[in-house]
Amino acid sequence: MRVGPPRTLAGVSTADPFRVPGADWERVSPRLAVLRRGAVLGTALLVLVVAVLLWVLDPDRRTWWTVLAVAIVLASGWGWWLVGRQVAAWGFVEREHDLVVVRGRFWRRLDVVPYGRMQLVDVTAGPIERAAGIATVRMHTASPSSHAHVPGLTPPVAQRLRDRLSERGEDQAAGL
Amino acid sequence: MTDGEPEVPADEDEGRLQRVHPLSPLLRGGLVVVAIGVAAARQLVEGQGVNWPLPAVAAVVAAVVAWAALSWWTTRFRLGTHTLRIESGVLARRSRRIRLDRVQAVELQQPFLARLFGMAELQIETAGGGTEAALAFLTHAHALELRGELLERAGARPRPGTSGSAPEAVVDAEGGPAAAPRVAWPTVLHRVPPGLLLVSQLVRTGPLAVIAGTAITVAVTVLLGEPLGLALLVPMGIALIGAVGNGFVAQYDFMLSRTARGLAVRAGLLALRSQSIPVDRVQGVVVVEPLVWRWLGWCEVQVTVAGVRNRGDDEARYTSTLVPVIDRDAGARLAVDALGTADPGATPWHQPPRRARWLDPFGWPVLRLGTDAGQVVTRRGVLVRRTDVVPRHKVQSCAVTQGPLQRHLGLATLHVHLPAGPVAAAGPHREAHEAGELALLLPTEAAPLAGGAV
Repeated sequence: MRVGPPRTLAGVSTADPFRVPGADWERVSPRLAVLRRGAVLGTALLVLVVAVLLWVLDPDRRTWWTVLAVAIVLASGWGWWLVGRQVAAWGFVEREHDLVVVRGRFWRRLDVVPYGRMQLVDVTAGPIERAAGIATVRMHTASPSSHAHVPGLTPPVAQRLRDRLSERGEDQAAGL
Repeated sequence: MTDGEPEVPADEDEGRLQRVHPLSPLLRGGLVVVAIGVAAARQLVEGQGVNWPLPAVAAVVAAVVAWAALSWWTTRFRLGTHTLRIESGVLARRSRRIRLDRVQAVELQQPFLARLFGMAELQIETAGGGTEAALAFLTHAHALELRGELLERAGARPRPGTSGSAPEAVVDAEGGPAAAPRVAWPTVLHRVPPGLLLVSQLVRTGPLAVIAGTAITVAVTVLLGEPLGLALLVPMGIALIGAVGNGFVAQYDFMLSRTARGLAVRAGLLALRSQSIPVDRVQGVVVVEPLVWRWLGWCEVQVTVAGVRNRGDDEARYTSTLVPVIDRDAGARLAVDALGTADPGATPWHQPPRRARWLDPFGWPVLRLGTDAGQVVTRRGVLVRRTDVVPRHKVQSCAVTQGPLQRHLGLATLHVHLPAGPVAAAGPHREAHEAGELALLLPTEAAPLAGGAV
């Protein structure tokens, strides 16, 4: 049963909706993984310090504090692994008329935003992102539900992407 | 101020400078003045005398009055051919210039106090969904006339693909010289009798739940012989009155009519709301059918209009209403009218595969998704059933989401993105490849189509 419109894209018969035909995915910078792993480690260290302090100050329940410390180490190890997978899952491809962004491993999401609908393309970088040398590109349409964004791009790549998107947006402007 | 003289501005700066009605500051600050008066009167009546230092009070009152008068005097507006200029501010001058071709809608509001005095406020909305400027207050006749002129000049620029421009030209031909300001006489499409409105608001799912809760409370109370439960009736009654009353007051005497530029809505018991819905700005329609309404064959029709305020509160819900209650078939016809497309009922739609029942056993029988050359139609909702219709060329962007369970079953959810509003077309638990295919097709196909027409 084919429910789609009369015209089909060549090769969109794969069962995996996240495998766009002919898409040569551009991946985000591994610096994003470094940054996020840093955040995971920082949080883990902070909690670990508290656990160690409690272990020293509260000798009656050392078993519990040991369990807590081990749990923290395990959790941060899992977080380390998860960050790697998540960052590797981000990708975007500029097609003829639209930008396609994929993200997520466990909960996956694919966004399709036509250039003509983009009202605004932002490059943002917070202080930590700037220190790490990465930036986020956000695409805004007239719809508040369009959440397409690509984090972890190096500033020159981000700026070139924004300029290309704006240019194509003007060429193919569709408005409302 | 009700100056009905036709004006023919040769240049945008040659429009006549106008002021809002002198009563405006009083109406705007009306409640404050009344409150102060009541407080003073009470102290007098209670025999305490006004124990405020009189010279200070007099000075404050004088200052407030002077400020109000000054701010009224310095607030002026000028309607030109291409722009509306509003100048305001006593100390810091502010001058705003609104391009008329950017005007999306002009709404006429009559808050209760203003309505008593025969005054109205004009709210001018531009793209982006905010009230760009408000002219408060004008006499009702002046406001109507100004709105007519604003809409006419806003629509003067030929916009490709608008259904609104052709009827306007016809009106111009009939109405004589374009300089004569006139309000096109609307044709009434639908009126909602107050009785029907009241009943319909009462049998919505929310109020019904309250009524059912009350009935259970009473039954339990009677059975157990425990009178304490009756105390619950008071808050439940208040909740019921709130839920039913809001809708009733806001939608009282609801009238939908066709004007030269699209559709227009007028409703309200206390505050009268008068709103235009330009058909070419309609982004989508949703037909809402609460549980009991389905048995009665009723539905509510709401629209998403580009540029109309949407703050997600009650008021926004009412400003998105095309008709609060109507016969199902008539509602479908209105939806077609508002969309200007083919009948959504003619679009073939399909259920998600049977294995989606594992994820949504109750919702699955209702779920539908269909597309054809013109539009996307989706249906969902067990208690409150909603059918969303979106013209394909209005789709802003699309997304596919897939959770771990959906992935296991080979399913995915399709989301269709529109500007802010009540319409939210979505196809949960579709065949994964179908969702992906549609997400890639729908937005891209739309954009070049619309872009090519410009």
